[in-house]
Amino acid sequence: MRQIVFCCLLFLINTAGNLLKAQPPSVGETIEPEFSVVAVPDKWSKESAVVIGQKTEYIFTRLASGKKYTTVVRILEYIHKRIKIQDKNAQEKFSTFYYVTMGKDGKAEYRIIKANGKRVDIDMKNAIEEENDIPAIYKPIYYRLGIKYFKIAIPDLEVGDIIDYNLRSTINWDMRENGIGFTPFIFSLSNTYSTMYQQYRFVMANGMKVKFRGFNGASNLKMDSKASVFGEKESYVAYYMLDKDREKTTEERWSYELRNTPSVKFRVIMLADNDPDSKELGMATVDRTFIDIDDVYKRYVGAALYRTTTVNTLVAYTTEYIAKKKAEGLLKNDDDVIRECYYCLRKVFLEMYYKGPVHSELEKYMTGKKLYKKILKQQEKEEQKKEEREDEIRINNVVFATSLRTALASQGIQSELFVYMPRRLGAWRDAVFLDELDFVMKVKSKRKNYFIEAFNNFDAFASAYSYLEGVEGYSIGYDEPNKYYKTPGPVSTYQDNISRKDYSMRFTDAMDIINIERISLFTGHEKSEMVGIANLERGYLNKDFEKYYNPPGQKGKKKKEDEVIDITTSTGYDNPDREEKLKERKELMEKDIKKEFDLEKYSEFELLDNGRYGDTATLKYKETFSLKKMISRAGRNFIFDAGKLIGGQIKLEEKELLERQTDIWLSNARTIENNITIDIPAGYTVEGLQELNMSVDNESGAFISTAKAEGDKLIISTRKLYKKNFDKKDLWPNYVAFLEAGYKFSQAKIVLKKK
Amino acid sequence: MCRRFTVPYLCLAGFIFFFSITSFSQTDLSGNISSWKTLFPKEDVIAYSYKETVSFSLNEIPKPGEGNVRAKVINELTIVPVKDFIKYEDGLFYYDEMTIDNVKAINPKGKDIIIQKLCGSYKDDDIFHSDSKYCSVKFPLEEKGKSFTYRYEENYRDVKYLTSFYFHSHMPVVERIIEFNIPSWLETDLREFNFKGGNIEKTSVKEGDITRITFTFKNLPSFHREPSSPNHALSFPHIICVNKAYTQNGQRKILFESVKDLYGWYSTVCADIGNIPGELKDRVAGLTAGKKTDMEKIESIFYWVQDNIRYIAFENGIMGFKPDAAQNVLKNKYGDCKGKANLLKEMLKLSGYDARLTWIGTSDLPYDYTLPSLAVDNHMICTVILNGKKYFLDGTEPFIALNDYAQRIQGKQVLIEDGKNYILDRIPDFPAERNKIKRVSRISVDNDVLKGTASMEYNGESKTMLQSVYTSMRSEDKTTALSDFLKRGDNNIVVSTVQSPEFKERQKPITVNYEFKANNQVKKVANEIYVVMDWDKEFSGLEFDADRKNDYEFNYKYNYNIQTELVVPDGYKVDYIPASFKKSTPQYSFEGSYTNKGKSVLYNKTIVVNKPILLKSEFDSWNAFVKEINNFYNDQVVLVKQQ
Repeated sequence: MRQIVFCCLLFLINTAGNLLKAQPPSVGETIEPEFSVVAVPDKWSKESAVVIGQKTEYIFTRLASGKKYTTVVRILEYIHKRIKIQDKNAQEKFSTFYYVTMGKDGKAEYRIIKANGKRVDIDMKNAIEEENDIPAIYKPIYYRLGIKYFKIAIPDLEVGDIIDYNLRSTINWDMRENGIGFTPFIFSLSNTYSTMYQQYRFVMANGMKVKFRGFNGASNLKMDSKASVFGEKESYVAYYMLDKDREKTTEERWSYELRNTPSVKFRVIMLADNDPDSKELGMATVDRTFIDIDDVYKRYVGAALYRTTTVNTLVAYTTEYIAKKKAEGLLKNDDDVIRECYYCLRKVFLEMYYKGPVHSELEKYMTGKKLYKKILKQQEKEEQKKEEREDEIRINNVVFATSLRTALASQGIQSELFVYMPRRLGAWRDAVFLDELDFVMKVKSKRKNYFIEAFNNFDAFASAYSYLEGVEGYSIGYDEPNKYYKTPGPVSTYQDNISRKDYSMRFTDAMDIINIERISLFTGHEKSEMVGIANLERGYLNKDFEKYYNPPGQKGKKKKEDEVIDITTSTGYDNPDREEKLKERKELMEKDIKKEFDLEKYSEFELLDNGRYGDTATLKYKETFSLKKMISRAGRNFIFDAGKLIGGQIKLEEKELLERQTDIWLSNARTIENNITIDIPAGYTVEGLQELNMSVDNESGAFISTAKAEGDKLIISTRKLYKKNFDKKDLWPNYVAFLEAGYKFSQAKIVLKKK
Repeated sequence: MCRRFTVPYLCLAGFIFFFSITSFSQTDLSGNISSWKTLFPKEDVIAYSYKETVSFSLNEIPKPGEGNVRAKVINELTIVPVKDFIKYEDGLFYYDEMTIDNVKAINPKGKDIIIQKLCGSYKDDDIFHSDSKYCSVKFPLEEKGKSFTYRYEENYRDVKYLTSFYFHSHMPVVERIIEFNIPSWLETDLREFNFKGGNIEKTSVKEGDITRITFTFKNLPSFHREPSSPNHALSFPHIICVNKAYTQNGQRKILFESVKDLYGWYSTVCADIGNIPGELKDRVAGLTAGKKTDMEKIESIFYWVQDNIRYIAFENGIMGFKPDAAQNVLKNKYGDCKGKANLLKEMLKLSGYDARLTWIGTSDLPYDYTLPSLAVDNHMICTVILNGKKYFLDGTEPFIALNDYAQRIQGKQVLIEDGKNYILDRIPDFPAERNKIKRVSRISVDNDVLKGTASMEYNGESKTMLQSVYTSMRSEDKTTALSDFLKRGDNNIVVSTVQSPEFKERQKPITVNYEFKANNQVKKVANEIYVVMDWDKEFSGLEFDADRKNDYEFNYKYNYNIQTELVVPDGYKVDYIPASFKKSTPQYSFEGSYTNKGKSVLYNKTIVVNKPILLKSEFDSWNAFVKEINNFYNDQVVLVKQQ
C-alpha cells in the first residue's frame, strides 16, 4: 500500500513539477454537493434532527521568516455543519448557538434554510460573549486558555428548518511550547444525531505526517491529489476521510464507545526539527503503523527513575524498616518483602501527609521535575503553608513508581513498569499515540506477578483495579537497559471480588418493623465504594503508625540529591475531628441503606476489619438497623417482601430484553451474596417459598437462590455471579437470563400465614 | 419568572456580607468552639459577627443612569474556622446598578491577606444574557478558633435598586446585625417580612441628623437549599427597604412612596418600547382569519405566542424592566415574559381588543402592591378586558388554556396599566380540583400477573406538565417516554397499546388510554390469591426528617381520583378486603375504600392537597397523616377458591 502511494506521489510530483513555489491551498473552498441536500432519508424522518453534512478541515503550514522556517506551524481550521431540525426538542437545543473562532481572521457564518427554500443569513454581530462554560459539542479541538466563547440566540428558528453554519479559525502552534505533535483526535463516527455525510480532511506541508488508524469498520484516509498542491521546494498534500449514512449512537449498558462503534484516531505530527538547512523535509505522508515500542520505552522508562526528596524519604524509612523486620526474621520470602514494602511506603507517605510536610496539591498534581522544584522553592520562600488534610489522598504515580522500585531494589527484588492501553480505548494493537497509555508497577515473585498501582489511603496490596482488567501492555525492566516485553495485564475472577451480606432478622410484635443485624464483607473491587466511608474516622492511621513504627534512625544523608525529610514519627495519630467523623460515618452508612430500603432507624455501626492489610484484604463491618414497609397485611396473614432484602437488582428495559447491538464490557467479574436468617414469628407458618428457589447458571453469570424453613427459622440465600469482564454480544441472552432471575427474586414475596 | 429581581439579587442579599465602621480586633475564639459545634453541628466556619451598615447620600449632579440618592452597604464579618486550615469561600453578586468594592480579608495578626477572586457573568439557565456578575472569593484560614475579618462594600448608584436585606447566610452567625443610618432628608420605610418567631431585636436611636435603626438576630443557623424548598422570600425573615421620598434644597421629591410611583416609573420605562404595530398586521390577520367569536380570536393569538415564541430572557440593564419591541419578538420568534406580554398586547390591540401590560409577583414572592418596591414583582403578563371581564394571558406558560391560570400566578395581585392610572386586581385562585388526575382502570388476574386497561385524565398543572415534557422529548423517544410516564417509574409495570393523546384542545383535559400488565402484584398460595390493587401509593414515601431545614413546596395542588375494578377470577370469591380509611384536614385529605361487588372488587381513592406549601411546623402532622395512609396502603385483597 505504501508503495502505491509512493508511485502516485512520484507521478503527481512530475506532473506538477513546474510549480517551484507552491501556494498553500485554503480551507472551506470546496462545498460538496452533499451540503446542498434538503431532504433526509425516510428512515430518519421521525428523528429529532439529522446531520445532513459535517466537514472538518485543517491546513498545516510552516511560517517562514526570511529563508528560514520559524518554529511556528499555522493551522487553518474550517468546520461546516448542516443540520435539519425535525422537532421541538431540536429546535430548542439549536436555538442557542455557541461558537469559538481563533485568530484575527476567525469568522463564523450561520444561515437558516427555511422549508420553502428561502435562505436567511444570521447577523453574527448580535452574538455576545459567553464567559461561562459552553456545551461540549461546541468546544473547539484546538482549545487554548483565554479563548473567548460567543453565543447567539437564533431568531425565527422553526421545526423543518435547516441550519447551516461554518467556522474558520487560525491557530499558530509554536512547537517550542507545544511540541511537534498536534492535538490528537480520537472519536467515534457515530454522533448524537444520524449523519448523512461527514468528511475529515487535512492538508499538510512538507515534513509532516498524519498518524491515522480507523477501527470497527471506519473508512480509511485517502489522498486527494486534486486538492493537493505540489512544488519543487514545497508541497501541500491533502488527505481526507469520508463517512456516509451513519446511524446515531446507540446507548447500551456495559459498552465502550470506541471499542464498539466505528471510530478513528489521528494526529498530525511534524517530522523534522525546525532547521531546514540540516534536514531534508519530505512531502507529507500518512503513517498507519502501530505504536513503536521503542518510543514507548523512551517515554516511560523514566517514570520509575524520578528521585525527589519525597521519594528519598519514603525509601529511606521503608528500607530501614524492612531491614529490621528481616533481621527479626519476620519476612520469610519475597512475597512478604514486596507486600510489607508497599504497606510501609504507604504508612510513611500517610504520616508525611497527615503530620508532616507533604501537601496534597503538591503530591497530587506534581507532574514534572521543573514544577516540583518550583513548588519547593516557593515553599521555602513562604512560611510553611498549612492546609486541611483530606480524608483521602492518592500518591503521585511517578513518586510511587520510583519509591517502590528503589525500595525493592535495595532488597534485591527487581520491579518493572507495566505500560498498558486502557481498556476503554482499545487493545494494545489499537494504540496510536503515546498519550493513550498509562502505567502501574509490576513485581514478580516466585509465587505470582503483582500489579501495583499508586496507593491511596485504602488500597490494599496488589488490590484489583477494574481499569486494569484484561488490558494489554509491555513491561519495562530496570535491571538492564532496553529491556521490555509484551505481557497481559491482570484479570480477576468472581472469587476475587466478593460482596457478601449476612442478615439476622426478627419482626417486631406489631409486625410492622423488622429489626436487623447485618454483617457486610467486601473483597477486591467490591470494596472500593464503601472502604473510604467505613474508615472515615481515620482509626486506621493508628494501626498503620503502630504496625510500621520505626524509631528515628540515621536516615538523613548529606548529599543534596539524597536529602531526606525528617518525619515526626510516633505510634499513634490523634484525629482532632474523630467524634465528628464517627457521626458522619454513621450518617453516610445510614444514607447508603436508605438508597435501597425504607429505613426506620439506624442504630449501630462497628468496623470489624478495615480492609487495608494482607494479600486478600477484607472490609468487614457490622450494623444494626430496622426497616419498615417490608410487610403488608392480607386479612389474618402477612405478606413479606423477602426479595427486597437483596437490594435493588437491574431491571432490563424492554428493548434490552430483545436485542444487544454491541459487545459487553463489564468492569470486572464479581460475586454478590446474601445470606438471610429470619425468625418466623410465633403462631405463623411460612408459605410461598417456591418462587424464591431459582437456579440460572451459564458461562457468563448465574443467579442461584434457595429459601427454606428450618424449625422457627426461615433461611434464604442468594448468589449472583458475573463471571467475566467481557463477552461477545451473541452471549447477551446469558445475561438476560440471570439478570431477569435476579430481578424476579427481588420482587418475590412470601406469606406468613396465621396458624 | 422573568425579571431581574429574581435569583441574583435575592442571592446577593442572602449571601453577601457587610462592613462596619469600627475595625474588629482579631481574637482567639477557640474557647467557643465546643459550644458552637453543639449549636451549629456539621459547620466548618462560623461568623462570630456579621454586620451590614447601610448609609445614604445625595447625588447632587447625577450622571445618566444614576439616581439622586445613592446607597452604600458596608459589610463586615468576623469569621472563625472550627476546623484547622480550611479555605473560606464566598460568592459575591453584582450588576450594572450595584458594584462591589474594597474587598478585604485580615488575618489574626491584623495583616491584610491576598484574596483569590475569580469574577465573571452569573450563569442562570433561565436567562440567556444578564448583567449579573458573580465573584468567587477564596482565602485560607488558619487554626480553628482564630478569627479573620472579611469586609466589602456594595455601592448602589440609584437607591431604588436597594431593596431586600436577609439575615441568613451560607454559614451560621452568632450575632447578625443590619443597621440603617437614615438621614433626616430621607423618608424610609423598613418593611419586615417573616419576623414572627424570629426573635429579632429592633432599636431606633436618633443621633444628630441620623436615625439609626438596628436589627439584631442572634445564633442564626446557616441557610441551605434543599429539594423542593420554597423561595426563601416566603419563609426567611427579611427587610425591604422602601425609600419613599427625599428633601433636597427644601423641596420634597418622591421616590417610591406608593404603588402609584412604582407604576409611574414602570410607565416611563415602557413609554419608549418602540412598537411598530404595522409589522404585526399580517400575522394577526392570519391568526384571526375565519375565527368568529372574540374568544376564538383571543385564543388563536394567545396560543400562537405560547407555541411559537421561544422563551429567551435578556436582563441586562434596563432590559430587566423594559419589554423588547413587539415586532422584534415576532421577527426573532423569541422573547422573555415582558417581550411576550408586549407582543400579545400589540397583537390583541390590532385585533380590536383592550389589551394591557400587567406586572405581577409570582408565588415565589410574598408581597402585594402595598409594597412600593422593585422587589414586589418579578413577572409580566398581558390582561385583556372583554365585556368587563379580565382575562390574564401569560405567554410564558406553555399549553395553558385561556381563562386558566398557572399555580405560580394564582391568587396573586396584578398591576394593570391604565394610562396615567393603574388598576389593581387579582388572578383567580383555583382549588386542587383544577389539577385533577383521574384514573379509571379494570384489572384481572392472569396467572401471576395483573392485566388491565386504564384511562388517565390530566387537568390543569398535571396536563400542562405532561404536555410540556412530552413535547420537549426527542421524536424518536416520545413513545417510550410516554410509557415510562404512565408507569410512574415502576419496573413491574409494562405499558402497551397507548392511544396517542390529543394535545391540541387546550380547554379539554388530556386523556390517555392504554393497556398494561402489572408483574409481582399477585401472590398465589394454595387456594388463596393475594392481590395488590394499588401499587402507585402516592405520597407513601413523602415523610420529613427532623433534619430538614426548609418548608416543603409541592409541585402544585394535587387532586388524585383513582378507581380500579378487579375482576374476581372464575371459581374464586372475595375472602377479605381492607377496611376503608378517611382522613380530612383543611390542607389535605385522603379517602380510600374497597367494595366487594361479588364478581369484582372496586377500589376508590381520592387524595387532595389544597395548599402548595407545607410549613416546617406542619411536618409532624403530615408525617402522622402519611403513616395512616401507609397503614391503609399496606393491606391487600384476598381471594379464595370456592369449595
